[in-house]
Amino acid sequence: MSSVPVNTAENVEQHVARLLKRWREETAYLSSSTRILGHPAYQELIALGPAALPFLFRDLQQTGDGHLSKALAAITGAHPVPAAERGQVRKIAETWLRWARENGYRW
Amino acid sequence: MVEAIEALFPGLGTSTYRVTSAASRDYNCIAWAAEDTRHWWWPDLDPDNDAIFWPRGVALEETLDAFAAVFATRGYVACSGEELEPGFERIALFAKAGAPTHAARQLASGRWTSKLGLREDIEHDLHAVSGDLYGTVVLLLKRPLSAASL
Repeated sequence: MSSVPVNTAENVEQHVARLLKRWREETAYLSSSTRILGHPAYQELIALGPAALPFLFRDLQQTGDGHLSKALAAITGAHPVPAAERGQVRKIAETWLRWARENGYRW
Repeated sequence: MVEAIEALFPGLGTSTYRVTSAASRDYNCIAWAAEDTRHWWWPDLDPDNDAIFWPRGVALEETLDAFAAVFATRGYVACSGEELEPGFERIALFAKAGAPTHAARQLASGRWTSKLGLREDIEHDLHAVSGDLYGTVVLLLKRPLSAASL
């Protein structure tokens, strides 16, 4: 990964944190994955691209929120989750964190 | 938290309900109605979305037919009436503008249990969670209690 200047990294970190907070607040009572993952804040996280990854992986480690899988797949192009784990939110988070470490990401 | 729930579901504020679990991102209302706390059940054709489970063979559609078919895999059939019926258990499907939004499962007491999205499970009166977010009950399903091991 290319290094990101400190100030920009701080801005991206704050941006990711704000989007995650808004996304979780506004989807908290929904069951529909379509609506949860179609939320504008979630789409904006994807649009941030690779610069968001360290902060998304950090959040994933803290929350175990495998609902971030679609964003991570969209940004990285990777699909590390085996079919047997589909729908198992916490396991999916663990699989993504393992993939991130194996691919040199630090957070 | 109670204030947040009652603001979203005004019917809860005028009836008796109780929170029966901690919040969890691991399962949703459909899974909870199907008595599964290990998966998030929802149909999605997008291969990038791994965080959903949907029973094999059921159409990947956000339609009432598809949701009824999901519960048919667990022995449920359409029925009328939401009263407690000895020997049977019931599920109520909610929809808004024709799109499924929520499911609740009837308890042996006759009251209902719901998982509220990514938040807590609650025990409640069936229609107390009707409203802007979940719409209304549009389909009732039942199965014999003897089918509960399906």
